[in-house]
Amino acid sequence: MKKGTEIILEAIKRQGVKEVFGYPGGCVIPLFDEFLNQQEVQLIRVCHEQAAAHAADGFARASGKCSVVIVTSGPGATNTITGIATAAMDSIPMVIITGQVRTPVIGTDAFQETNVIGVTRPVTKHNYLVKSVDDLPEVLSEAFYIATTGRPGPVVVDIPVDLQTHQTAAQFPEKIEIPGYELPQVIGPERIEAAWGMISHASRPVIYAGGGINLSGANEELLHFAHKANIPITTTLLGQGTVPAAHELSLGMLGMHGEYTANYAMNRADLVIALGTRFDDRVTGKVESFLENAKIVHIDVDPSVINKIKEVDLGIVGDVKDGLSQLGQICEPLATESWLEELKSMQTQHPLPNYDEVATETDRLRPEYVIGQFSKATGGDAVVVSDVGQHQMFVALHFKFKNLRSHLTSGGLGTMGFSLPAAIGAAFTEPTVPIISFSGDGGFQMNIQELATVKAYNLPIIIVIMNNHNLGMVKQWQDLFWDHRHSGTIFPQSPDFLKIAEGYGLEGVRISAKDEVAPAIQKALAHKGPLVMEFMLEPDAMVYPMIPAGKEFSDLIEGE
Amino acid sequence: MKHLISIQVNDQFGTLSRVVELFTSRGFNLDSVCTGEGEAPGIHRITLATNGDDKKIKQILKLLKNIVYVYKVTHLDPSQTLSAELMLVKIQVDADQRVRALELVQALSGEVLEFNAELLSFQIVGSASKLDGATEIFREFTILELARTGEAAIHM
Repeated sequence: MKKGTEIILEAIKRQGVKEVFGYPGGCVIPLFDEFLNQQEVQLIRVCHEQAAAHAADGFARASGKCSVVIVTSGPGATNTITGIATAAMDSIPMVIITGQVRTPVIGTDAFQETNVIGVTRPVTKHNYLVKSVDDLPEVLSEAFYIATTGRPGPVVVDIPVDLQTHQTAAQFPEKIEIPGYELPQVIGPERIEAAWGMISHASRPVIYAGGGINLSGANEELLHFAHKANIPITTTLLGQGTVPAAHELSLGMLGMHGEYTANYAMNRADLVIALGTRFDDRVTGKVESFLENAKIVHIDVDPSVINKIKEVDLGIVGDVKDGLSQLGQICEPLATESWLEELKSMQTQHPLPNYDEVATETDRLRPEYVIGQFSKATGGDAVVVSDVGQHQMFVALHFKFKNLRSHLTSGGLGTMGFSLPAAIGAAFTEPTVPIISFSGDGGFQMNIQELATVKAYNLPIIIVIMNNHNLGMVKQWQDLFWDHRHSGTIFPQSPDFLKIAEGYGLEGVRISAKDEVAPAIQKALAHKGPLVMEFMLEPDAMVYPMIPAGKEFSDLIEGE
Repeated sequence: MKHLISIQVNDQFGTLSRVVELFTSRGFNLDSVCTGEGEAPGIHRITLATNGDDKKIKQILKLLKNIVYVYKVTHLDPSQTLSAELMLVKIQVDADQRVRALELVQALSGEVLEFNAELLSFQIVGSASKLDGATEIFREFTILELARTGEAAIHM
């Protein structure tokens, strides 16, 4: 016979999970207690449940493995919702264990009771309320299986506190069988031949690669195929890192703030191969004119994203890694020389706005310059975690990503406050390269309390605050489309972030002048342990290029 | 256009909620839901009536299939489908109206359930459109209560 809490720990160990992110509370006291009886799994105690979810998310994004969150009932569980929704939108595998009030009082509005199953249903791939301790081994096995297979996603398991101490003889199932839950099948060779049949007739093909490549670890297959067939690649925000930015076939990121040439290529293409991606509105802009003249081949593990936004000519359901590996075997070099040349010349004619040599009038730093210097100093070898807003797009454009799973960011939900806790999670994957967390001065204050976690575990994160004293992205929209009416977006008085860092026991440095940037970054990279860096930025910088929401390539604004 | 979708689901806590949630969260119409145990124990068969263009229906079918405990989704072809719905009606009838009301119930193959000096309660089984029509007809009386089960459907 085993206790519920022993079963839970065993389920976690069976997954090879070594760190769990959580926060204690009344309905998980037995479960937290169980951690003291073993050494294999470390409990990482953060300062807010939302941060626990983001930390687990960051761990999963950086490692490609499932991560685990444990929080208490009621507010503990509801605080994780933003984190769960963030993971759900970007298909991140996580299991969230929430304590629940005692079984006999469920439904009575007991203290710290929330209908967690109801609240989390729309933001989870699946969820469970455990009703008997005998169900625990099976439910937990299923939860991990569902979270990590097919299109990954978060799964919530709500466990009443009384069941945690109940005893059971139930065993873990040897095999998991969920009727109706089908794993992706190996893609039939005839589908791949049909795809290649279309691709081989294209004269201006483009690969549009999404987060699915990072999730399935298909970067080598992608590069092999693209290289062998001579097809240029543009990636989405979540697809960054799958193709080294400096690769000759790389066009950079596409979409609303994508590079000119990437969007030009999509607009001019006669065939687009969409891989592990879902035609997000930040990519498509005006759907009617997106890929108007191109045939589309779409490979994705989730059948429901094929033809969801845009009718495609050939939709293939399956693991993108499998699809690319098969395509790589049968493809042949295409005569795309003139197409690639056309794109090269576009890249030369339309480079990203470059402020390296420009002194700004206000004598403040340009964000592009700061990000560019981080990119240069690391050579792209870093795990970069960005928050949401202008700096996120500056990072996407000016940091030259090189490695798989090296840009961790909330793409779909666009969650401010993501960066610091996600970087904490990433730090526990013990990468051999530096971890750099970028946030704006707005987003940083949304999970600023996690500086305490950074200190407690002495995590070697370079915590960068891009301080422009406003909510830059919303302000940019106000400047462009709302007659410069800055309602709610200006923070004239930001707190003294270095004093705050000091209060948390962390070292900090403030950089205001251009010639201080490179030396400060060098010092930061040599620094062992956490460091807070605050960059005082030009407040009116805008992110360009930009295709305004709902518009098309011809509406692209290249720069100020 | 109206579509009937039949799904088979594991009878697990929360599955019906997930099915209904899908319609509300994605902004799809859900005209009726009829659920109960199907031919195999532990497997419920849910008949959903919805409407929308082809693209929308295809998307609904895929999203339904994505729900973990939904193991079969069938888009029913009207020409190959048997479907029926039950409607319970209570109307107010005085002595003058009684014969007319009973004739109508009989004409619709209905069954009288309760009958007294002022009230008549009956049930009618049939297609959704038959019940729509019957409802219109009975509006000549004062309808006190009316409840419908939603269509249940199987293959022909």
